[in-house]
Amino acid sequence: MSTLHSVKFRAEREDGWRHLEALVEAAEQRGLDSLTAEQLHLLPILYRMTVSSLSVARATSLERGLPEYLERLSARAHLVLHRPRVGLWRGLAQALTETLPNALREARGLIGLTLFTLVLGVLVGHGLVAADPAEYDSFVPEALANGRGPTSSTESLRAVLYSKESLTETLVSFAAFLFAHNSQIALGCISLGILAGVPVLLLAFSNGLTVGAFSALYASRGLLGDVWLWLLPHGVTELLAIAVAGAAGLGLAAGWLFPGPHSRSDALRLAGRRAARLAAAAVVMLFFAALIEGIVRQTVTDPWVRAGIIAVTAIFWAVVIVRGPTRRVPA
Amino acid sequence: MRRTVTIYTSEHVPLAWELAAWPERVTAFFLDFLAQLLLLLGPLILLALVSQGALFNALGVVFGFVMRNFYFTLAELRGNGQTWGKRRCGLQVIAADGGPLEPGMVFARNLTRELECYVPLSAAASGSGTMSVLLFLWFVAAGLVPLFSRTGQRLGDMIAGTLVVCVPKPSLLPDVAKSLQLKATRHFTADQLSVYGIKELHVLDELLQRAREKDQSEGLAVVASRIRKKIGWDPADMSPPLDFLTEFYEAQRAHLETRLLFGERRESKRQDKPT
Repeated sequence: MSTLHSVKFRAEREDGWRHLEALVEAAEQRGLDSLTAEQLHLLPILYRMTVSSLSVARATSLERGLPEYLERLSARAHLVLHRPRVGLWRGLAQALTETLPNALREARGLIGLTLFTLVLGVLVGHGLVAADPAEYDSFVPEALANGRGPTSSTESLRAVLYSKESLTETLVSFAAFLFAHNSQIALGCISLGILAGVPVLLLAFSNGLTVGAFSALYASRGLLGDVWLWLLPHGVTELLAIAVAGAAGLGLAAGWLFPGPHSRSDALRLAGRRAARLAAAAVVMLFFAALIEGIVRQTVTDPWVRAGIIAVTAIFWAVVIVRGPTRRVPA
Repeated sequence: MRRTVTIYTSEHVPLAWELAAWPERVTAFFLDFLAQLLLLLGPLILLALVSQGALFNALGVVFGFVMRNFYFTLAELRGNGQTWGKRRCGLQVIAADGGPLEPGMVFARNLTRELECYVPLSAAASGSGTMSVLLFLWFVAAGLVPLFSRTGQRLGDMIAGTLVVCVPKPSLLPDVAKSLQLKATRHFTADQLSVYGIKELHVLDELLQRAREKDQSEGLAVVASRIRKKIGWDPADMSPPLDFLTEFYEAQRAHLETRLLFGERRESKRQDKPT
């Protein structure tokens, strides 16, 4: 046995390092849950021992590769020990019940602003088309109009509102509406937020115009009440989701326009995290909206039930969004 | 030289990570893309067996949506910042502040992937004229960001506050000095041990390691004679080079480590001798 103190240093601690290496490997491969209680107890102790070994080795040992080994081992162990406390499913549940509602509550001002713009668009669109039905074509894109226009017969318009579809058709429309249209708008809202936020409000306003034009078309045939009863069961959730996505975009814009006490890049990062939470909330809301749209709307035609769904969703979201933040979520 | 990022543990010990280089990241991305395709293809083939037409289309779109938007998020949440492809390439996502990688960060960096890559590409493909050129330029610009960012972050990393780093497997070499069984028969003077520095010590370490593992001893004689000449060792000593070198290694390391304790770190022979 050599008399070098660095050799003794290694000999005394090497078993601990090897043990930590095995534990880290197991935790990386199969998760912390796969460790026994005793191993979990040992993990932080071995980690601190190794980190302290690293400091000592850097200062006293000249063995080739030893400090590098200890640094890599400590770095991996650091990542294993500092992983978030909650697992995947608990994390998802927590996101749905805490993180996302809190994000919605904190952004209620911006959500209100986008919603206001949206509703303004609806009113303006309705007013303009009611005054001059020829305006309809300039507000409703061909793809969305789906053949419905000022020239359609009242009967065909009514048929759309009260049609029943089979399960397969339901699923198709579910998929098409959720993925093709709504998500695009939501994601578009957020990305446009980078461009100072003005396009977000424009997008919200123009979507409002489309809805307003639809409403005016149906109103001209005496179907005003029917069209809103058809639109709103899912529309409450869907329009709110678009408002939420818009709020995410606006928050992102506010981040770099008005950084406040932070540096501009820090402010953008904080805003980005808030925007990501809002985007996740919007996706969840759109999912529910599409569920209602695809399944409930085509199978339930009774006006009272439709009105009931509108009331329930409106009250639910109002409670979630308007009630003040209850628990602070660390940024 | 690869760029590194240093994070202080709660014990205030600096830990350095090497930042992932772009070829590794692109490779990892393609591996994950392949995994996504395979994961998508399996259920789709099963689906095709039990149904066709509209239902197949609808379910296919739903699966596609989930895969496209949530594969990376779910994989990184599950693997603490490692997807399958990243694990293969030895990469990991970490929080830039050294803290835990929160789910919010994972969501943010992967939602931004959508805006950096998928949305502009698909819109550019389906759009027309100037708009699709602009979108394509945005895609290229977003792809170039990591090359110019000091920390190799893409836009999503910047927004989420994350970094992609290399996590090589640690490997502990056997200690050359540990297995020395010789009792010191030679005595080196302080002057003789002040010729070389840490760099030369490590070269000698490597040489001895190789000699011990594979019995490659051809270079040893040359090295031994050069060292003997340099430090002015007695030319009459005709002992086997391996014996001389191992003893010299141990004496040299003991000397340098002792000086280290006194705060003198001699990196190489080019550094001025301590006076």
